[in-house]
Amino acid sequence: MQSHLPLLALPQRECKLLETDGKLRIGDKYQRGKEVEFVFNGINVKAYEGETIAVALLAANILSTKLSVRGYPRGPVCLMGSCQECAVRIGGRKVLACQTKVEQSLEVKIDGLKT
Amino acid sequence: MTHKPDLIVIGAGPAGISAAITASQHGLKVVLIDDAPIAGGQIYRAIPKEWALNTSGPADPDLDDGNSLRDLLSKSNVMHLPNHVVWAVAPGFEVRAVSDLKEIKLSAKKLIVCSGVTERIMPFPGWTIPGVIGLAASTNLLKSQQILPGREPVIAGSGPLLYAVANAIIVAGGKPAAIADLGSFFDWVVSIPKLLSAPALFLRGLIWRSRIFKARVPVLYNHHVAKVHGDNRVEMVDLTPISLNGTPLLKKKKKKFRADALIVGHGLIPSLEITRLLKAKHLYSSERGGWIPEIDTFQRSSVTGLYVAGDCCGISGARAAALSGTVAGLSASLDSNSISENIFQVLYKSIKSKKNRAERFGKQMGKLMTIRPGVLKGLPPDTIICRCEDITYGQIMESINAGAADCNEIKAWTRAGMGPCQGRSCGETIAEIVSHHVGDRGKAGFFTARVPLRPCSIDTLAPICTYDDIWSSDVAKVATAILPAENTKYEDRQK
Repeated sequence: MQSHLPLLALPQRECKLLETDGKLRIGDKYQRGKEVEFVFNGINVKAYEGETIAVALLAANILSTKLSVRGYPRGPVCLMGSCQECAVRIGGRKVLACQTKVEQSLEVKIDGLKT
Repeated sequence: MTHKPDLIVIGAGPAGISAAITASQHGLKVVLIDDAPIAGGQIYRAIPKEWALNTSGPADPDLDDGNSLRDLLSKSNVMHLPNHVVWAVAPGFEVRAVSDLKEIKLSAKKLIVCSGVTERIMPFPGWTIPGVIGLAASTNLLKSQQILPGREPVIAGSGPLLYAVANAIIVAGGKPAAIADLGSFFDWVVSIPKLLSAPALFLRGLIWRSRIFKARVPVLYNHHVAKVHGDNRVEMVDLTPISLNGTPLLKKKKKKFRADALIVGHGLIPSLEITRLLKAKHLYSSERGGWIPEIDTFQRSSVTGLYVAGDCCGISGARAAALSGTVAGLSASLDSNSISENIFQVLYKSIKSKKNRAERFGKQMGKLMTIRPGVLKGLPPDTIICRCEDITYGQIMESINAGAADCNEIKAWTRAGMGPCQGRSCGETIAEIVSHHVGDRGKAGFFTARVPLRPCSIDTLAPICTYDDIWSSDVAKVATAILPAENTKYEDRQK
């Protein structure tokens, strides 16, 4: 079996992050929670209490939450705790961005980046 | 410490809540365990409790149904454990779950599994690019978190969710770039008679369709995603026409759409890690979502004391799920001798016809989500199949050509399905690929379920302890009782 050979041949890539507001939040129906600010990989992200980290990142137009084992950017897919593609690091612990609520001054880091 | 209720119910969706309430009404001590912070499951996802409703918005029927279920649950005697992720289930039944870095153990003679479904996404080139998200995931975003997955997304896949999501996006101010339905218009027309069994839901579907038509969103029947373009995010989506069995007709002209997201889902598949772990018997039925546990009319599985209810025993929809939950709750009460056979029959007859009617609608919807075997044909070899381990179609074909004949052999040879998602994302695809080579899905099998069912950290399961803790534990007492004898023998031998 040579199945691991093509793996090495593929280029490793760096993940680029964008920082703009995608205007995705639906405005009028609900009064969202208190405004909070957390840090994702050094970028300050505004969010509202009650939102999950994955949603706050999506609203801030940040789609990549993880690098795959081969170094490709990945983002949340299932948003119900099944696919594990939104696993991020908080204080050295791996948590799912789609299942974790935002908190003021939370330090969230992308998983899989070589530091 | 181990909690010992009479019955454990896993999953607090419509089925789980109904099952727990029913059993508790008949005198059983019930624990309902679920990973979400608020009960309701995926269909009745609640709005975060930190938020307040502005009175201006239109009513959401799903939210109302969910709230009335939650209300019933809070008034019942059921012990509801939210935020608990089940990581292991052992026969007999012992359930272990983690929450907030703590583990709890539950044991009960009866177990009802209402684990629901996961979304099936059949891979295509570029499906791993950030911005490609699930259809069911999008309904969660729109319903519970009040956010658009994209302002101009392409929506692709199969089943009624396509139109539900497109409708919700239009209502919220977005404009889908296109809808690509794997099914044909004919598929929808022929299912109308059966869908009329639930007129209210059918009418809702018609309203969605007319809104999509008015917004001039192109609807492409018999189309599948050929490729997603974009480096770090979705930029453009190519759609290709497909043949009747789903094979992409790559020679025909592709249609290109600029999009900020791709929302895709190819139906729902029952989540059966727990019933597989407990070695219940399963059968394959493509029309009901794939592998389903074998159950009798009263939701009993092949394992004594194990019941299965809701969509995880075949796609039937939320209404049918709640009723099957009630039946499971009744069966568990009957088998625990808390109600008599006569009362059971009376109660069962009172919901039997309602349940059958709800199932007829749901099953037809399930049929519309049936997988088309051709969609995996013509995939380029570098298409990723297993997202967690980055295993490509080429690598899987390589192992099939080398003789791998079922899902678990592919898993052992390539690592596909060994990542953190435990094969929940790729298991279905790999089974389809293998089945094309070995004949049918029955022969292709499925990934063996393994604990931990969901990733959990080792320090949660084995908390920090000192040597004193170890020496004062029961294990140490047993060990010290045996050890001296063995030691003397050893010393004797030394002499």
